[in-house]
Amino acid sequence: MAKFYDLFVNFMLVGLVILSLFAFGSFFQSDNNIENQFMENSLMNDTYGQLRTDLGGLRDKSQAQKTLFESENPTSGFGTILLFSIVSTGKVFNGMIIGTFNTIIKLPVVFLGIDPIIVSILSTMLILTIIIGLWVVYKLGGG
Amino acid sequence: MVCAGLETLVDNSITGILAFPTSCDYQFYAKIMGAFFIVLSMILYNRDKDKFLKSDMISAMGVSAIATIFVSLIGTFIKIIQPDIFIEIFVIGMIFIVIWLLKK
Repeated sequence: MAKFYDLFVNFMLVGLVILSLFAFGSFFQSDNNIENQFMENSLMNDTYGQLRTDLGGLRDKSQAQKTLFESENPTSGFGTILLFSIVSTGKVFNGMIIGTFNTIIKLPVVFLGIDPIIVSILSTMLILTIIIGLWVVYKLGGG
Repeated sequence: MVCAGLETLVDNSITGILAFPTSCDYQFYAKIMGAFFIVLSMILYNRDKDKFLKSDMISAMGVSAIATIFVSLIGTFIKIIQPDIFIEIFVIGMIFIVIWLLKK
């Protein structure tokens, strides 16, 4: 069964590790005054910037969702408690997974010439996993 | 492929000698890094197999990819690896790292 929480944590870890590699490489090259640094490549620079934006906004978005979750008054449903803020949480965090995926997948597509069909299949698998994972979260309140 | 002999070597410094093969084969150090990656992966995989009786090839490849990226970065510092070759190594290594982390 798809677990949305695990998927989210894994993707954020992937983003963090890739961002760290970018940052380490960039600082190493600029500190040692290396000519033709790899960050001078526009796509590498854009990817680094996009990852910084994606991961940097994580705290604010999660804080906003936490506030929304806390402000909601739970209502009783049939054998369960209804909390509609979980839907908003799911929407925000699944967007972050897709965003990180789209940012990272650009590099192999451009530099290694990966076929768009492969990217399409990977995207489909990811989106389907997210949908099923979110459904489990909405239905059972967890995964 | 016919390459120039060592008598054409102009720069006799260590970095000059190390960079000499790239004058014949531009992808020389990309291949060296590929070999380094495979050897390191095999070493890590077999070490884990001996140590824990259970080993994971993807993990070994992910760790090796990080090491290969760092070694390539040092290669750019001593100017034996060109930026476009480093980007290729970085992106291929990144794929292994992503697979490794997502597999967990």
